[in-house]
Amino acid sequence: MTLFQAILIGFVAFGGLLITESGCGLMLNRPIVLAPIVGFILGDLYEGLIMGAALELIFLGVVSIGGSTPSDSTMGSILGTAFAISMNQGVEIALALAVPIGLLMQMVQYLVYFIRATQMSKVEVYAEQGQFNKITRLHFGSILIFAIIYGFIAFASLQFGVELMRNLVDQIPQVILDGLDAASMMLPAVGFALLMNMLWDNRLCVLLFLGFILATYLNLPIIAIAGIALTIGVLLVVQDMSHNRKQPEISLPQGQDQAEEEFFNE
Amino acid sequence: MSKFEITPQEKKLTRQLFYRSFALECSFNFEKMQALGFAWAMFPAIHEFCGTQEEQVEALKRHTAFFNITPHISTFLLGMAASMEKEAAEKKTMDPAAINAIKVSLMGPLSGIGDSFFWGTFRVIAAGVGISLAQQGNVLGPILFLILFNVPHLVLRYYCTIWGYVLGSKFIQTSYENGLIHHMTKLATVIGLTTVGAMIATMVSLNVGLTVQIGEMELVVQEIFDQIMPNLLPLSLTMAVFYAIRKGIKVNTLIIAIFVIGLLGTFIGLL
Repeated sequence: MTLFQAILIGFVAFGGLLITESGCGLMLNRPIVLAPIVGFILGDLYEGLIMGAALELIFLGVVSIGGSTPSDSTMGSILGTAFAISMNQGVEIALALAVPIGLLMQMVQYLVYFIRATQMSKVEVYAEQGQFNKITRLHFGSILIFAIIYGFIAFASLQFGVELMRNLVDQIPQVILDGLDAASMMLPAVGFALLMNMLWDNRLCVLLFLGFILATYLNLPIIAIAGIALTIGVLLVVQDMSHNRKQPEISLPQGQDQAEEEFFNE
Repeated sequence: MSKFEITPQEKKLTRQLFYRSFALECSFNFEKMQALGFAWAMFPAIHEFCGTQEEQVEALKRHTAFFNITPHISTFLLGMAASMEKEAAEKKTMDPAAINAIKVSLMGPLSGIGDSFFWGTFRVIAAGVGISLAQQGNVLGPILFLILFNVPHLVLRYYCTIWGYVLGSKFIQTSYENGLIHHMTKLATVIGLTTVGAMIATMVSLNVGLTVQIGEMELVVQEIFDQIMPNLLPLSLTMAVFYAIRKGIKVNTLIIAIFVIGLLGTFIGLL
């Protein structure tokens, strides 16, 4: 890896953090986007795409809901891809590196959220004085500092870490590489389980099985399955609506719902 | 639709709210979460509707209170808060404290829809298409992913600003009462769960490499599983992980457990 490439990837990390942390929600920070960019910088767009697909799968359930994110997929996918490609290694090494890097960087992120929280007492003072400019500065100040540090971390790890990492990875025996490969194929299960946890509804969960059957036996593409699901969803909602109109008093069996949930959590 | 008539000046305001919503989490923190982002996005509205210094201070205090919502639909509450600021400025009888109360009461239900639609449905479908292309080394993968997600996202995000501004809090309240929010959440859940089920089949993979020698016959264990149902093992694995998450086991523990299973399984020749 040349110095220039390391600097460019540092800038990708800088931008990736701005996208992630601003909460703009444009998904430009997802592994499927970042890994191909890193691959392109390192002259191997193809590997970048392959790794991006695999990383997106394991980080699929990593979403920021209510401010808690289980892992920093941004740094994980940038460094995982960059290390793996520069060492001529495959997807399994990218994943094996991305997961711990993501976990480690998430702690850094939590530290930042904590430090910012200590600054929040200033906000009341500024609001009291009507100082719009100072609130703006407080709002944007820390993200820039964080992004610069973040970009530098990515740059420094690549500039000084590749040799070290290469020595480490070279010593890994084949059986472990195969094991990592098997694990990386299973890891998406965690992402899907997290999504299921978010979407779960005891009365609708059987649809999960429908999707599974449609994909397993009919090999339908995802858009077709989404279309079928949309149709079923609309039918259910229309049925609900006409049902509600007839009996407006018992529209939501709240108590029963709760009992079911408790039963499941048991 | 006569309900949607707004003056050019108001249109400019909603556009500013929309643009500013993209910086909602720049100062995200554990104490006030998106509070500063919401306040910063509200600056144009505060300047527009609060004439005196005292009014501006009051409005600033209101909007720097704790706030947290799915960013993609934050514009709805921005629009709504702006229209309520306008109402409070015009009608002195309205208690401005109601603005914050309604904001806070709507955060939860709106995030419920927002999370299941944007994180659980649009993103999963877009990722499903993008991943299957990227797996073949096709550069259209990430591009299609971004387009499939962001076209509905940006259209909805923009119109939510206007809807929030024009329809206001009353709309949300009635749609909560007549079940519209409930229906939308249900629709997102149906689509989300079905597509997740499909992706478990296509994107999780777990194969047993074990062969058992029974007399002359060599039995490939994976073939037996495939006879029962293809992808049976990935489905069981995902359900097991889901059950563990429901039981309160930490996600990181589960990831490590999968690494251990993969390594041990390969080592003893099971996988």
